Amino acid sequence: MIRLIAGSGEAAAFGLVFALEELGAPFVLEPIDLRRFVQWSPQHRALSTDGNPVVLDMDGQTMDRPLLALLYLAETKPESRLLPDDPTHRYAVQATIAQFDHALGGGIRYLGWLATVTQRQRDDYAARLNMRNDRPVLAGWSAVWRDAVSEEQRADDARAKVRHGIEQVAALLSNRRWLIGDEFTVADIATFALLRQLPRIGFDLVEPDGSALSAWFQRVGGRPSAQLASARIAEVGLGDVFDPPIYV
Amino acid sequence: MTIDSQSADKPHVHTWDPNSNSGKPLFVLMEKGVDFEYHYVDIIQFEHHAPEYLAINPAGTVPTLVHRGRTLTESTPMCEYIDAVFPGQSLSPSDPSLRYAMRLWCQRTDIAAESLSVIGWHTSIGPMVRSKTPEEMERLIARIPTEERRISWRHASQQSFTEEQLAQARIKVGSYLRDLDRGLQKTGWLVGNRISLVDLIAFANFYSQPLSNPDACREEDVPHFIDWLRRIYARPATRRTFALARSLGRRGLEVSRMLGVGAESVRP
Repeated sequence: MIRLIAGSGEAAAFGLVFALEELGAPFVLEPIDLRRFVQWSPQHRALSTDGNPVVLDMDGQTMDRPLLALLYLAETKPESRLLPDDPTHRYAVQATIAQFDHALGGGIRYLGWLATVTQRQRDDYAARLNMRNDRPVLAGWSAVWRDAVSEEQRADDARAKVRHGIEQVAALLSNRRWLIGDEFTVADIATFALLRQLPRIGFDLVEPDGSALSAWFQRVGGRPSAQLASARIAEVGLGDVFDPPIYV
Repeated sequence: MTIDSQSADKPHVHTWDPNSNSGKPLFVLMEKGVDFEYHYVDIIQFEHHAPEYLAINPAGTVPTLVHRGRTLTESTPMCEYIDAVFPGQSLSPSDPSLRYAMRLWCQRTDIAAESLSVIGWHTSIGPMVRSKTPEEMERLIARIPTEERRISWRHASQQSFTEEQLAQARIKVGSYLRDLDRGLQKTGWLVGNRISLVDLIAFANFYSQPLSNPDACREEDVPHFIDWLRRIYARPATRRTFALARSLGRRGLEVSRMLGVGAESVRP
């Protein structure tokens, strides 16, 4: 049995639901309540030792890195062609997913957290997180950068990354129907899952009607699997909040 | 050098020493036995932010692989590409579950390597670049394509890491090494029962730990990690890769001797 455990309808969960629907794989979507910190419960941490909110459970094999799980799903059904055979295109899919998740996704997640959670909820979350003995701590260059800027600068930077990310997606689509190669791939799924959140953080979804980006967004969103994914997410009540950041 | 001039079938790698991200494609190409052109990019001289390099890779990151007219800049997927297109022993499992496990270890390694990089800047690279005048340094930093990296490099070049930043980085690296040791316990390799891309990617980042971080590398504490290092150091491809080193990568030869892996263990 395939189970997908998720605490919100944000990109990480939506992308996996979208892919599972695209593959026609029967699965159970199990919501967890992030406001009750279920992701840190012993039961959930038996599935994800780090307490990551999104977990794909494939007959007992658990995967708590959603983008890697997306690649896994595509590789279990190569006939779906969600991951191209051609090594150049395969590289491009992986690189595109990684680059967009880092900059565009990082910006969206940060702004989404600020936009959908009250200050009191953020403080409560930080306090609870600090009580954990194994609290994850930011280190490396990310910590150096975080310590060097104010929260306001960080939000400005996130907005700049989102704007730049949208431009990059638009540039990729300027002369093609799908992001990579000639076929719909998991790069389209992952990128669509990010961009569908833009209205909730105060960005115009896409350029004016008629642009290549707008047409692509309609094309991807119009797939039956995308519509089923939206319905599944709504049906179990996911989608009101963004997953909390790992670090505060 | 333009991209057009590199469109032949032979891969061209623009990178620094066999060290960290720079080293990933070098170790993989050598292990596969691929003939390639090595274009040395001296990051100590900030050559990766020079206009001629930015013309090839506008992000100003190393490494860059140019092959058949295509430019690849993401180091970990780049290794999967090398493994897929060139003949030789496959370095990736075919089973999707093992491929997930391989990519998960790659991700963990990249995260830990971020902390390792801060420590490396503090102890090794920072002192090398600090011989430049503040004006020259600011001019070089101004060429870096993103604000986030400009801020980070400015800090690094001024040796302004806080004690807490360094302490957290050391904790992350120590924790990763213990995870690595546990991960190697079963088969001696990180995924499956033979060497794979992630062994080379992890090695490219953590090969010098016995020298630079001896407290975290006591053989009684992390025996599987030390044994794994010895086995990779003894591979002919590894020694050929370190022979390319001009800077920090030279530590590889020193660590090899420390671990008792001499030239006599190298098969022709």
